[in-house]
Amino acid sequence: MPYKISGNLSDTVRVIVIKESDWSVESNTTESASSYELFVTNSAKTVVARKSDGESFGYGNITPELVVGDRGVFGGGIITGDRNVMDYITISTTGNALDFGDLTIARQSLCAVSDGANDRGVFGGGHTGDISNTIDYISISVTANATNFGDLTEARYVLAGTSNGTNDRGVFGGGNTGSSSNVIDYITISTTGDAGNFGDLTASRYGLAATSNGTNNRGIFGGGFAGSYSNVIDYITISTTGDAADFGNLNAGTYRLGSTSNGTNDRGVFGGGEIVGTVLTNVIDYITISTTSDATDFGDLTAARNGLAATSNGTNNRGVFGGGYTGSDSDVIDYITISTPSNATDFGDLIEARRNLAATSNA
Amino acid sequence: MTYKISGATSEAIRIIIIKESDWSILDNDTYSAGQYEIDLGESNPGNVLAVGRKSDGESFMYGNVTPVVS
Repeated sequence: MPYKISGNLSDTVRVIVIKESDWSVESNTTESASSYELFVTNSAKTVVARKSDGESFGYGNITPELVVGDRGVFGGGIITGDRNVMDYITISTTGNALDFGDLTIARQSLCAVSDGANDRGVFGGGHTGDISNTIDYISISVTANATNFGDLTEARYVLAGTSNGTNDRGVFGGGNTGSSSNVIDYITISTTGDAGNFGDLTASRYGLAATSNGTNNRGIFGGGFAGSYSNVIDYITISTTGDAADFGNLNAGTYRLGSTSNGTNDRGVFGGGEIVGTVLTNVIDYITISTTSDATDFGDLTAARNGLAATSNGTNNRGVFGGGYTGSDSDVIDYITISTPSNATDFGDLIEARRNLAATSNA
Repeated sequence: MTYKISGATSEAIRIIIIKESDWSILDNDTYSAGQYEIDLGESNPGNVLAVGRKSDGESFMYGNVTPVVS
């Protein structure tokens, strides 16, 4: 559960959490004299602490705190064949990725979204030998294989996805259907089912990247390719279906790049990709998501690469870029502090080197 | 023979009675300012934890409360 009540205790106490909507006991535990953390549902609580001698204290009208997740998941990709592998990291702690489970279908050039702290990650589209309309999902905090979710409105790959976090809408934009697509479709992340039509990008393209400012509701699509390398950034209001509007430009037309953000703190970053002349780039640039404008230089990845994936731990401010192609398939994960422009630093390794993968998190 | 908890409150409150043997809720009701008497039934519930919660959330409570028999 992504909500908690926490604090510090000077004595061992029994903590009884009462749900104020129906005055039932939601949890009843003994907590030692130290910091404690109780995961609860999202509604007002009366919390009672009772010492062994009967002395008691407590408060009503307590609003549980939303727990911002810290797990990043990378899924799919290609090495010599399409991959169904998913691996995960704890974003705040550098180290190598661990096995998570398998996608329902091995595929590359897919994208991923999540409903943030509500813990559902969704992978959409991709290429399996054929172009795929598959959407499958995981519970990010629980290692396991993915489960079928539904279908995109049209099968496509090298598409991009983002969401408005706990507000529960995921969007998938652009991609290649055999030709470049301007389609944006959407899902309600907590409810399995097929995607619905959302609107159109300002320009058809594939190999683009997407991010958002989370519950502040602005989704951004940047870069891609459609006959030439695109520097277009366009945006949508995720909660309102409609066509995208112009936001500004990346520093260079870039294909197969990665993008993430620090959530409601409003900074989006784009990293890596391939620029004109099929040159691999290590450039990271950034935008302020709520303010339309061109991107600004942020710093460099540890290695130039395309076909990478990016995610973050949201307002906790760490962005990670994983995998990609540097001339060979890469297992590199590197990270940035999203609020502070600078070069990326080594984080660890994926469980297997691959390119054209996707990433999301429960932040 | 019934087990009761009684007292007086200076404000309207919700009183929640929690059975200390299994931490389940035995009684949950609102009371106006003044005297109150809570009937806990004919079975001895053992000691209880009594929680008083005002509408603004401010709460006070006591454990090891022994219901009286009347």
